[in-house]
Amino acid sequence: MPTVVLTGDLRRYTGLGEQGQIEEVQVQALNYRAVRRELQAMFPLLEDAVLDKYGVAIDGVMVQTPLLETLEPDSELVFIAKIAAG
Amino acid sequence: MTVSRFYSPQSIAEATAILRQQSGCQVLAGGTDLLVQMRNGVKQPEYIVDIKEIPGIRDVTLTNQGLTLGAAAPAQSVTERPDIAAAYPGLVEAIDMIGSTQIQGRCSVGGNLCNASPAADTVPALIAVGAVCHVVGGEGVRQVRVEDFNTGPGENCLKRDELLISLFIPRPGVGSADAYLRFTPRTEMDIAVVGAGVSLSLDPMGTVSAARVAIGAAAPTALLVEEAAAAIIGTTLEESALAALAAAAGAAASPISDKRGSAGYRTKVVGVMARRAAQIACDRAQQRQRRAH
Amino acid sequence: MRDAVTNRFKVIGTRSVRPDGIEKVTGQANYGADYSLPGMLWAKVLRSPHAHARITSIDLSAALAMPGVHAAITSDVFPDLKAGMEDSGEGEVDFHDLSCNVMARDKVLYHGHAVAAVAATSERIAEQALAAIKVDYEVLPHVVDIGVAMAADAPVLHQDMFTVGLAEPAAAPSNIASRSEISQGDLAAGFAQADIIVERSYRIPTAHQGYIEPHACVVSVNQDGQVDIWASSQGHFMVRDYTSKVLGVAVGSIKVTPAEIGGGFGGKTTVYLEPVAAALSARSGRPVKMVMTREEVFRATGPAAAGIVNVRIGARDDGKLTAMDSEVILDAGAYKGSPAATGARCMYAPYNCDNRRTVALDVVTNTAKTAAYRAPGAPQAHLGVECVLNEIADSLDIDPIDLRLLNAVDEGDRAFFGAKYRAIGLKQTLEAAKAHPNYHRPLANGQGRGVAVGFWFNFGLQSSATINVHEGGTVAVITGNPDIGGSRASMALMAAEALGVPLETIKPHIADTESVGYNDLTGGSRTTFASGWAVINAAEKIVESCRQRAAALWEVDVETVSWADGAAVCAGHDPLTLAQLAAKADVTGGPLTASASLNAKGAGPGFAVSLCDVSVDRDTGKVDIISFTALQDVGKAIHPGYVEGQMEGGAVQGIGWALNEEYIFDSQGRLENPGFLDYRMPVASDLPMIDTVIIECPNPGHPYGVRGVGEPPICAPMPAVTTAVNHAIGAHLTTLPLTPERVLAALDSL
Repeated sequence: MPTVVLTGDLRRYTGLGEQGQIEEVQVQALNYRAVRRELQAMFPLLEDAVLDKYGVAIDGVMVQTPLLETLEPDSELVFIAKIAAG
Repeated sequence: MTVSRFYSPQSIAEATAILRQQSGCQVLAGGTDLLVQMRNGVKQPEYIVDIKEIPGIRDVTLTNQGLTLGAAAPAQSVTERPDIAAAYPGLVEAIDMIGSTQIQGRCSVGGNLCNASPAADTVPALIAVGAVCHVVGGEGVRQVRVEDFNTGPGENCLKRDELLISLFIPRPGVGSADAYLRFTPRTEMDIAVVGAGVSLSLDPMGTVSAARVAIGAAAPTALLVEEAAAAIIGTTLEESALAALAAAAGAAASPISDKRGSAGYRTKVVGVMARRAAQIACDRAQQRQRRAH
Repeated sequence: MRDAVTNRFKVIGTRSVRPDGIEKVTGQANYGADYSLPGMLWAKVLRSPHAHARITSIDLSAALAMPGVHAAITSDVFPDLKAGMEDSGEGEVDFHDLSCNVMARDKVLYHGHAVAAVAATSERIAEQALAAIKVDYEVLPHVVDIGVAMAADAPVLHQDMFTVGLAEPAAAPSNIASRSEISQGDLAAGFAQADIIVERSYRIPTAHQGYIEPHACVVSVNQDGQVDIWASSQGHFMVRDYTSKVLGVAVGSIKVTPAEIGGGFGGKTTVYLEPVAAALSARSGRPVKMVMTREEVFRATGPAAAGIVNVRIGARDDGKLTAMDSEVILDAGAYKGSPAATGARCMYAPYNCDNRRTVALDVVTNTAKTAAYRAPGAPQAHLGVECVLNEIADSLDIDPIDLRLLNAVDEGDRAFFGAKYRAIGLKQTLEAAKAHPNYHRPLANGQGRGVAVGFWFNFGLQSSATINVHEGGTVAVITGNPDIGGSRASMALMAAEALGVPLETIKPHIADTESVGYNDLTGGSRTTFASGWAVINAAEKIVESCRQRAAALWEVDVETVSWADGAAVCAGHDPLTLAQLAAKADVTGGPLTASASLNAKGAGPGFAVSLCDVSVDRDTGKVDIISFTALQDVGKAIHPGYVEGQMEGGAVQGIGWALNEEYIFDSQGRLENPGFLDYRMPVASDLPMIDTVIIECPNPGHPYGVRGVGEPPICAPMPAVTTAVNHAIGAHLTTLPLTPERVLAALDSL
């Protein structure tokens, strides 16, 4: 089952543990759209508007187009707050 | 707001006549201060009197008696002369600190003096070597020592119809030399936080027989500090003498605190610059003595 | 591995001549201020004389009545935009704030804030007209210091700003725009395991990027409402999109032609002038030109954020880190959006540690809205962590590089910001630093050495490229990113490599917004990585097309045709070169052209190490840099000369920020040093030659192994310099810049 890593302030929406702690959850989904559906079923506060504020890394690679990505059963998907560049 | 007339007098008499007749005149030499001041609104002269056409005012002459710097002579015409640098190394170092290569093609030592910035590099160096100003006005000619020329930040002793024509610096003797040091956080393109010029003479035994110490950016005008000179006259610049010199320079300082440095820092570092300049001047004087033998 | 990659290439990695070099050294290249149009007007901006004030009235009538004045505007001409963050690709932008920064609405929030603008037949008349505009202000208390701005009784800039990210919703408006926290493990337990704990608070001043070219543009709005813009920026698509938002005009109505850019470093990632010039052009019916003065650049464009960085780190006697806790507070300027959270994510990135936390606070002040500056937020954050690590190394008597090697991340480790690292070159870079002769040079009395590590994520994002092969075999490579650091050369090298043709046949071009596909801006160290990748993809399409055309000419199966050294090859046939195929393009399928677009993933993180030796004048406090070594994992150096240029430039900017650069405000909140005389960037004679060492640990996410290069170089210099000075004088200075006065005061207090 792919692993989803929720970092930073996402904890606020999951109600898991202390605010700010990194949290891992397992999902059945094998694409990003399904990951979101599953997460939102688990944590109703993780609305689209919240998740859209986060970037996504899959297996260590920052991806700009997660909708096009597929996941392997051992994949790791990380939500990371977006950053600004110089 | 706008300059209504630009004069280019062809003689001293014509220049002083214009200055006498018109109020609101501003004398222009190299213009490296004036144009900046006009651009940022600090000065808004109605008339500009460009003195560069006056015969001889851009001349630089070195004789056995000394150096005559025409008031509008560009810095470059001094710094490019090895004979002048050999005779007055400290003064030439100070001149070479002004602005950049491009600026030095226009700016003049006379202008640097008349602009009366407390932080001007050439002024303490000129005071140290005993420079005298040759001033001409409607009432005639007068001589003013450089240490008496400026009267406050941006203010000098010239009357409305007076013009600085030239500076004269007597030729140093065999056992004499000068040095100028300034402190800036950067190595160049900067304005002195403090500066110090020293000239001194050594007797054949190596004892300081005469000295002049001047400090800049440490008071409303550059100052001749006689107590600092007294602290090293009769000494061989041993540590105690240098410490007394530094203390005297610091005691004479009455600086302001601004974005370039606090009063406390300036007071402390002006002494450091003075003692280091004294040491350099002494080393140079010793070299000259050795070469003369 | 490294050699295998290096040897793959024929032209990549060579120090080729810059394609745009002759134009630039002869002065023929056109920068923002070089453009003029017939009938053009000059516009000038009236700026606030107060740091914080309510605008009670603006009267333009006297200015408009002046001969030669064709238009005058206030913010009334711009639509009110909805507040809220929108994704702009490079990060999030609140276009309501952006519009208010372009021209103040009811309040001015900093000295220099634009209030009105005038277009006239000459610059001089425009300036005189500004003086005729009557503005009434109600001056308000101001705050320019972030520490003061966070206090409960501080003047509040935005009554509608409530701190986001608190456990409980904020009850009152505040200058703290947001708080964000990341943590892992158990901090208390981590500190309990520590044999040594060091805690320090650092202050970093506001610093300007100091690009040599002031912002400039020419804008022409025609009767159809078509807006044509010629401007210098880090991204002309950004200029188009942001101007579209501020004006309320469709993107399709705006075309932006990029001028050459004289430096940006992150500071040209937003708009200031273009919407104003467009509004004045629309009103006057004439093209309008605007060029900022240096003073305007300092007062009103975005510098890098000032910061307070509090760091507490615990370690065992053997140097293993047990706990890291920090607070990164960065100054956003007048509107929210400092890179505090970004810096907080960088500061631990080089290290493994089980127990750690960062809290990032974004704070507004009555100063110009900050902008990006090379690795935004990272240099400030790294200063704290790296200096504290050096103190721990000193206390434990462990070599500071060994301390870092012991804790350094490697492939497979989870980065503090969440993702697991793929291949990275941190340990290789640290080993190279340790082996460098500069690290073993004996230090004289009064000298000190400092070491530090820096990290930057590096970006991918959207890029497009088009390649046109001309008859004769020359190749136009068309991209859409302004060339700041030599990217034309990089694009040409990658195209030549992919096509297998001589570099001299490649002509790189940077096209306007209508003539090439969309490109995110030149920033985030993304251009060589992502736009280069688009070029490689387009070149591969050309190769594919050439193979098919050759196969058709030879009447063979395309699978039997290969591509080698710029020619189609098939047994039994003479090779057909690109030039020969281009000559036959008409009969083999028409023009030989290809385009490629992508949203690049797989940007490889960049690590850099700085080694710095200083000498301190104990009588004046002046610091001289006597040796500086910049080492960096760049993945693959496409053009090593320009990579070294990036590393040297980052080092020099970091040195300047550490030693002398700072915004100095007077008691009224006015910037006292808005010029290069008193904003003391280093000059050439202040610096030694910067030694550079390129490390190449290929990025597995890029066809040629490229990582971003432009941002890691500024991350490590500040802590390296600060540590070197502290070692030289035996002090613990924590407030930057390390001016002579500050250093002398520290010496006096020892």
